[in-house]
Amino acid sequence: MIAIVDDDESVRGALQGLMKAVGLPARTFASAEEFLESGQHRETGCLIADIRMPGMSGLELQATLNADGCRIPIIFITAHGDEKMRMQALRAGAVEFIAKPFDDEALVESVRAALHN
Amino acid sequence: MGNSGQAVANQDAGAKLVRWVKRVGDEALHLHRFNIGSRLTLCCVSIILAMLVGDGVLLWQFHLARAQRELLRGVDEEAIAVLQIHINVMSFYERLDALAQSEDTARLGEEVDSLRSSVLEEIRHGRDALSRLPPEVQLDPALLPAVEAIQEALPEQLEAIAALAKSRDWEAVRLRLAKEVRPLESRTATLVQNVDREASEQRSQAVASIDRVQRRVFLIVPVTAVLTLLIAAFLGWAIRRSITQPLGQLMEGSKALALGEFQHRVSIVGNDELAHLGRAFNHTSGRLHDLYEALQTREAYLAEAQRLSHTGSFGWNVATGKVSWSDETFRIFEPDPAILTPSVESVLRRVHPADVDRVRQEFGRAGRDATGLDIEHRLLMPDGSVKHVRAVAHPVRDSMGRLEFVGAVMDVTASKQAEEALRQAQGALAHVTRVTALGEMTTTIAHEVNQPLAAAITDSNTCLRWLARDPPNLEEAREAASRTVKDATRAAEIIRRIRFLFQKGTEQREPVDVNEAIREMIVLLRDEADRYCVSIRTDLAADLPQVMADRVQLQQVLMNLMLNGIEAVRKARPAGELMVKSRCADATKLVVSVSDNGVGLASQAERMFDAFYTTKPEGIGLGLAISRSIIESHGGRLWASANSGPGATFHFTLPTGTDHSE
Repeated sequence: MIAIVDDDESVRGALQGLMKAVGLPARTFASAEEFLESGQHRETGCLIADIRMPGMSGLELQATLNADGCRIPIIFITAHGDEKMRMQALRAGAVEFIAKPFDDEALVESVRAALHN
Repeated sequence: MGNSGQAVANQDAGAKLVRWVKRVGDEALHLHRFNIGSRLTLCCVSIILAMLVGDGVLLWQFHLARAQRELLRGVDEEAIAVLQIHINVMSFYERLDALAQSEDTARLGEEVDSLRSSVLEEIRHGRDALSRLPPEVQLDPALLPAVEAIQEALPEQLEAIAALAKSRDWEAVRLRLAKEVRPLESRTATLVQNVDREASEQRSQAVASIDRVQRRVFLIVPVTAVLTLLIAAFLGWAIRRSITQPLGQLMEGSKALALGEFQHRVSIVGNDELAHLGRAFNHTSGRLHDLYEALQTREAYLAEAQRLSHTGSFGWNVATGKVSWSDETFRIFEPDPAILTPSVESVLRRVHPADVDRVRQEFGRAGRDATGLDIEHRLLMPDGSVKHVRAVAHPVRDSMGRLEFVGAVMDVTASKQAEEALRQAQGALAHVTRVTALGEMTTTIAHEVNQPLAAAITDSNTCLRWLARDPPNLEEAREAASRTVKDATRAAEIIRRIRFLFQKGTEQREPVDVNEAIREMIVLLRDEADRYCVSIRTDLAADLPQVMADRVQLQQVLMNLMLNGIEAVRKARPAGELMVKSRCADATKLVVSVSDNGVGLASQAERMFDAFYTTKPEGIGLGLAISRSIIESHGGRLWASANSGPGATFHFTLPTGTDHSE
């Protein structure tokens, strides 16, 4: 299963629609806290998350999961990510760091690669 | 050798005497303990006492002389009395003898009574005279008994003789006379001789005594006079010394005070009026010393405060033209060293030529109207530097009622420079703040708009994926398309909200001098322009009316247009140039234009006012859209036109009336 964590409803809807179009089931969460509280991160094959969110940020979610020993492949999508943030995310084990607006084909390829691994 | 040694010894003795007298005068008498009045009284009393003693001694001597005279008189009286008794007795005998010779019994009988009474009378007189003698006269103790014996014997003899005569026994009478009466006569003669001898002895004694008295008087009078003179001289000297010494000290003290030596003290001896005066003098000079020190300290503080605050003080007497400066004022004006006494002219000589007329007028006005003076002007120093000073003064009247100004002159150059620096710093800060604010705002807007845009793109691609299936999943495609519409609508809504924000924002409308706003923006953007070697020129109408506007928003528009202009011309050759103009378009509006000689407009000139339209790699295409929103919210218009030469011009109008429609 794919989990989508983004505070923007349009982006959540668009990503879920795209995943459905390529045949990948996805669930959406409005915040990192909601995702952690759902307890579904154990069954999650791939996580698509925004970096900047109200409350816990994407990078903090990544750190929390790492601390729990939960190794979900994470793909970050952000509207204003800089190189420093990108390096930090990748060093912490992120699969991909994609800037908005993004190429849907590249995203789908990344998700598929993450799931296969 | 011997003589000189003796002279030295004499001198030593003299000096010793003088010292002794001084010591006695100063210490033994302790004259300072007494008041000067008491001292003078003491002196007078001493002189009077000395004179009285002298006179007393004299009087005593005179008394002695008088006693001698009395004694002599007594002795004389004694002698006379005895002599009279003797003569009486003698005449008594001679009368009786004559009667005896005549043997006239009848006559004798007739005369016996008168003879007896007369002789007894005379002898009683003599006795009385002797008993009345002054006590000084020492009578011969045998004298009075002898006289008494004669007095008793005479009547007896007379009776006997009378009896014999009656019996006519003249022989017996004569015998009785010779044997009885005659011895009485010789006895009185002996008494006379004795008394005479005594009297002459006493007389010579008295003469000797009077001689002694005379000698004493001759001695006492000069001695008394000399002693009195000596006492008077000594006391006079001691008293004069006890008065003149402290007086001299007081005079010296007064001279020292006059010279400003306030630490001078007079030594105080005793408890008299001069000691009181000396104490009062010391107290006064002590107070003066304290006051003078306090004054000096205050003056030093004041001078230091003037130096620290770059504020000098001055006085200007309008009538006499006399000007006085404090040290700091001298430092501020730096007059020619030759000028020792400053004048209004030496002030005017330093005043910046551009300010001279104004300063002269202001000083003239203040002197004429006797009103306060408060003027800021520049000074042109000899080294060519310029100082800013502020002079403040207020009119007072001097002791003669003449107009005088007392004031302060402050060197405000440093604060002027600081003000200028502060203004520049504030300008720079405002620039940074505005640029940052604008940047943050556009970043936020970009993020806000980016989200629905990204979603819309993804949804459109998803829609295409569903349509590209074989067979196409129209249901899913429609759903994706409707999401796209929703996303796009949301993006449009955000833009509308932004535009609404500028239209109905919390802007504060106030009268704004557009030219001043332009000049401020040029100051703010000077660095930016210099960085790209762009020169900014202005052509601003002088008679531009003020407009009601939000100053910050208006300056955001100006900054946006000027930054765009700098951006457009920064690569221009030979040199980038920006021209900002302002003028009145007509009675109701003014127009501001920003022209550049840059790359010019793109083909679709009107599109650049749309949101997110940009030709710049790092731009997001909001600046012109926001600028137009701001200008339109002010009731104006913003548009662009191509120049006849290279570059483009952006214009905006603003209504000058206060009742413009929104």
